[in-house]
Amino acid sequence: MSEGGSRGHPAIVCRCMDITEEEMLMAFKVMVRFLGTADPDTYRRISSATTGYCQGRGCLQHMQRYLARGMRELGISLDMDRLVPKKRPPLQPVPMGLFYNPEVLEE
Amino acid sequence: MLKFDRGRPIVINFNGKPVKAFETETVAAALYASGVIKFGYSAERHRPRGPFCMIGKCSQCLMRVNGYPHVRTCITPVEDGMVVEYEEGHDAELPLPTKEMLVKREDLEYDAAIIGAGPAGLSAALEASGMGARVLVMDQSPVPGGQLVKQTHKFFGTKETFAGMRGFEIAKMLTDKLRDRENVDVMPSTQVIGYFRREGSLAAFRTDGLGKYTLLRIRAKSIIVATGAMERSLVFPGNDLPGVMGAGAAQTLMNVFGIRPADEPLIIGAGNVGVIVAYQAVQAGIKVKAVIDIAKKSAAYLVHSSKIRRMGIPILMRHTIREAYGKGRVEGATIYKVDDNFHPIKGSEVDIEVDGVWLAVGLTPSIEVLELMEAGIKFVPELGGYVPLRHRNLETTVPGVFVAGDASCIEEASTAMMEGRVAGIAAAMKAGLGGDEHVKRMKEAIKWLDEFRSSPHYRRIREGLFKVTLEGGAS
Ligand SMILES: Cc1cc2nc3c(=O)[nH]c(=O)nc-3n(C[C@H](O)[C@H](O)[C@H](O)COP(=O)(O)OP(=O)(O)OC[C@H]3O[C@@H](n4cnc5c(N)ncnc54)[C@H](O)[C@@H]3O)c2cc1C
Ligand code: FES
Repeated sequence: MSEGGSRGHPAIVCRCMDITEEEMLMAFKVMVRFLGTADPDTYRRISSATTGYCQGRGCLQHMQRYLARGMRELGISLDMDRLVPKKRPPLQPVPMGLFYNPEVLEE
Repeated sequence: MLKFDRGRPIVINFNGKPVKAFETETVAAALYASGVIKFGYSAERHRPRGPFCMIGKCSQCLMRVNGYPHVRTCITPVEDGMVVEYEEGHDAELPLPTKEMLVKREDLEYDAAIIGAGPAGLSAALEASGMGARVLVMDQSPVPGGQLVKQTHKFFGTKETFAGMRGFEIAKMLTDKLRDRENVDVMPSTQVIGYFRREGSLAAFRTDGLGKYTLLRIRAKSIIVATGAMERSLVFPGNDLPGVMGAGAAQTLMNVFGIRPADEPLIIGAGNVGVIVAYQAVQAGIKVKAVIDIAKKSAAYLVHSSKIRRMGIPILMRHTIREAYGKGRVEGATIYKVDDNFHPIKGSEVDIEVDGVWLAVGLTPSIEVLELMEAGIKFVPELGGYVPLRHRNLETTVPGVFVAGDASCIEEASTAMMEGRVAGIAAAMKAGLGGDEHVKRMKEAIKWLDEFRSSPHYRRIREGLFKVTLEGGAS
């Protein structure tokens, strides 16, 4: 079923991790219901959106939109400025060899 | 029409078959030119995928090249005899190269390190180096110029920002000027990937060729973040089918490489970018089926939109996309009309046959580096989304770190250049250079920006900037 049918394709939010809109909405519910929280770092861990090769360059804004909407619907106080997950280096995928090369390690 | 000098013809090998290419092309451009639009399969669902951004940001073009896995083919230049292959789902295999890698390490020191060689970064480099600063400009793309390299139309604006010149000519002129200066290093194919807060230095990695990398540690007295913006995506069924791409990606294929990304595309978004790309597509002999936009009124300058209306391209306002369909690639799109509250109007759905869907639904500032630095960030829709707080001299809340161009606020090339000037002068001053005349020059540039933005067309930008501009700093 690789190429799929002609119609009824999924709506992809995060291309790198292959996450659909449905899955994003489900992940929000799971987060609120089982962890009792709604914050960007937890949302990214539960949905795994923004954690792929491009590091959220395409999907982060959608994730923030679902998060804001979900919080609004539940009446959770919402501060847009706080919907940014923590960034970690490297900002883009790099070859592992960059760091395990012995020449690089000695100092 | 512009002529393309595509350089010497060469041959590369794609999945075991020879493919013709030209030496000035990237691997992705060469494949697209030969009709390849599927670049691999997605990790989980095994769906066919193709490039979305063409500027090294989206990671949808990764392939195995000469045995090296996960190569971003859209920013990798082709070489004669290169072997390019699909990867079976990027996660299905360990990302180990089948060949040796060569890794070097360099420690560098500059007065000013500039991230991004678009109009903002290049202008900043000119100013700072003119004041005697030792300047490094890094860009992840193999050619400097940022978004300007794909803009073939003449620019509006004023004399100070080179009105009447074409975008790529401006890029070339700025780069040529910098090349003559001994105190400037322009480093292409170099990505900034990290920031060490305690010592205030940057980590970057440069691709010197396939499998040849240099890890850089850059110490600089000041840093300018001129990383531009990323095209927005849109969520609808079939939005990942090969053939759905950013309008800027289509523009790169057409204007940088002289390649037709589609024969009959649908363009979503009737702002300036959407209509300019539609116009350029028609000039390239492409039949644009329609430009649709969910808003009531097009945000584009009237000259642009009336031009494409005259060419017979329908601009359908209050229309949006329901889904893209097709087997393995885009073959059509269902669009529908909305009412005043953006609710679908019953019975308005129509299918149109298209072989491309180009998204021109806005840009988002690329501020990843500033997020790493933990600079103060605020959500300001008027400026394109999350943007850094800044003083009048464009210094962020991290001392010595400046921002300029689309990364500070989605605007246009002329303002990006002027902001680059401000940041360039301020960064050199931070490094202890310059004098009264430079303070004056910076004030003039700030005044130019204020006057430019005083037109009613830029009311939203003004309101947005009011929310993020801090007291203090040179003004
Ligand atoms: C399709 C389209 C049409 C446009 N048409 C016009 C027009 O007609 N007139 C006009 O005035 N403006 C136009 N614009 C807007 C104009 O191009 C931008 O405002 C301008 O290019 C912004 O300049 P910049 O230097 O801030 O960013 P950019 O030109 O985007 O340059 C940023 C650079 O930073 C690099 N970079 C990003 N992150 C990193 C990193 N971590 N490490 C290293 N390098 C990095 C990128 O590769 C890029 O080259 C258009 C834009 C688009 C997308
Ligand atoms: S990273 Fe190559 S197409 Fe986006």
